[in-house]
Amino acid sequence: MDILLYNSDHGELETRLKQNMPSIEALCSVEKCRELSWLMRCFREPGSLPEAIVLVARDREELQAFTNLASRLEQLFVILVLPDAGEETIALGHSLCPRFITYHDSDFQDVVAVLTRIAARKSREQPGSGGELEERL
Amino acid sequence: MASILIIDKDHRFAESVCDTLAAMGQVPSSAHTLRQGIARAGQGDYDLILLDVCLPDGNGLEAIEQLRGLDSEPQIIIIADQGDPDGAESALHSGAWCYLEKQAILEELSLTLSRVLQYRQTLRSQRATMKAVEREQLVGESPAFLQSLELLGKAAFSDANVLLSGESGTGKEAFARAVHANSRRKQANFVVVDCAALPEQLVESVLFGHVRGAFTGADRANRGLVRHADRGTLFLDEIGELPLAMQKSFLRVLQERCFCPVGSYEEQASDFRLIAATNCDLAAMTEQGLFREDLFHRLRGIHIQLPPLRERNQDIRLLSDYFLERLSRRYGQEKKEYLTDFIEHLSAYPWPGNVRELSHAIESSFVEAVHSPLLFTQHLPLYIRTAYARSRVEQGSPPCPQVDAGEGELPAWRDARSRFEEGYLHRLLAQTQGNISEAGRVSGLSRTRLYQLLKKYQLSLSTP
Repeated sequence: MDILLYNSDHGELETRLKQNMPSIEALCSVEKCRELSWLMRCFREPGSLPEAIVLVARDREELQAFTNLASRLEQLFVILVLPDAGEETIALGHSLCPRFITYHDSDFQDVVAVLTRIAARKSREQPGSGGELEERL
Repeated sequence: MASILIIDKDHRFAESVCDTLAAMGQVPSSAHTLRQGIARAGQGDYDLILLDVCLPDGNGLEAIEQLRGLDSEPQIIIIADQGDPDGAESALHSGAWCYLEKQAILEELSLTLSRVLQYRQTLRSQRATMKAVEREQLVGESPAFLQSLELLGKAAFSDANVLLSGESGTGKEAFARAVHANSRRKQANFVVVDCAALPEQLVESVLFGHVRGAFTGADRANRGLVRHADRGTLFLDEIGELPLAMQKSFLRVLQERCFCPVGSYEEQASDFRLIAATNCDLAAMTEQGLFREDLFHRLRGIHIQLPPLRERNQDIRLLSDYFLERLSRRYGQEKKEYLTDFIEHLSAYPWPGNVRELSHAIESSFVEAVHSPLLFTQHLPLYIRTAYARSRVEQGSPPCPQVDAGEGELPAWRDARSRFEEGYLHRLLAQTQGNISEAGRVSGLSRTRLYQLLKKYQLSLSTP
């Protein structure tokens, strides 16, 4: 399974995310992206997209910028990391119809657990592509 | 004032019913054979047809479906000389409103008529509402799809629980969003819960939230998705994957719209509307003890079964146009056109992945044809072309035009020439990418002759 991980935050959040990267990379092939302009361009060019995307919204402005990609995000399994749990932020987050929501202060174990489950499901759907993944993990 | 047609072999009976109806302020007319009746019904805009069973040229019961299928969708009342229970059952199965004996008709007509007209009025306002439903991504005009849309309209204007079932890729989430977007809850959140993606240990806290310190790692309180859906819609996707223990908790929440976050005894309320979706047979799962029967019945306030794409083949062209339009807008390119055989290929494929798979196939073709204004079958994914080739062989069609029949029977000159011309035009269009000037140059044919040939074989440069 291919995933795209977008995170423009360089602080403590990045450190926590990095701590979980080995677990994530054991599950899927990860492409990392740190610039919003690159992310936008990637979505505007014809071509295949990854199966899942983890979008870490640095702040509400960045979350608002993600909404420009809403029609394309519909086609992907979106994990959204929200900057806070304020009502407006949550409402904006749900407008992207993410399949899983977590927050900046997460230890990202929840993200790993969800990715593990969907990777296992994908491998079951595609025989011969590592159907033993769930057991292994 | 309703328009009513009486199809009855008995002229005097028909006349007397017409008089009664006219006295009620309606507009009646009559026909005395089935053929005459069907023809007249097709020309008029009738609300109701009173249909005799025994007509000189056929059985009225057998014409019910044809008459119901007319544009005005008239209601049919069967009128029989003598009551026949089997006939009455058959009439209702075919879509008749009711079955009346002629001797009782004058007494019963007035009440029945007012019910029919009242029903049609309700139906009309429901249809008007349906027209107002924002369909957005819901593309299709096939009867099976329109039936689902009609239910969507009902669901949007009520607050009942909705169960969407259908194979993967049939558009269950798009339907769920449309129900929300057309409901009074549209200003609030549409909250997606992907039951298949949630590990068992996370389900409860994700749905109901938790208080600070509820478990290791719960450094702060979380409101949970059920609370996020307050005044909005909670969409439980793949509900068949919800763990059994959780089904019990969720049933209570569904009944009371109250829940306790993990680690708390304090009840919280959430006024959410539930839409659930599944590609599983929940009825079979309840029999196997894998899904709670009480929850299953709760979910089915309105049940919308989405048809697979193979059962709405006629929508493939509309969907393809829609996807191409969307891709052109997204990538800022001119809309690409396609030739007839492009759609033929798509129509021959069984689409196990349904609309989602079609969308991917169109996108893949669009990317392949990046510099071409026309989409050719060669731009389609190989598995679709292969399926088409196989279906042609299985149907016994020749894989390519054969002018020389070799040892076999020699075709007539006219047939052989037609096959050659059609095959040649396909190749010419493919090679010149639909450019008429180029096609003229390569073939040596005049533009007029080329257009004549394209018309003859129903081919087009710009549209299939």
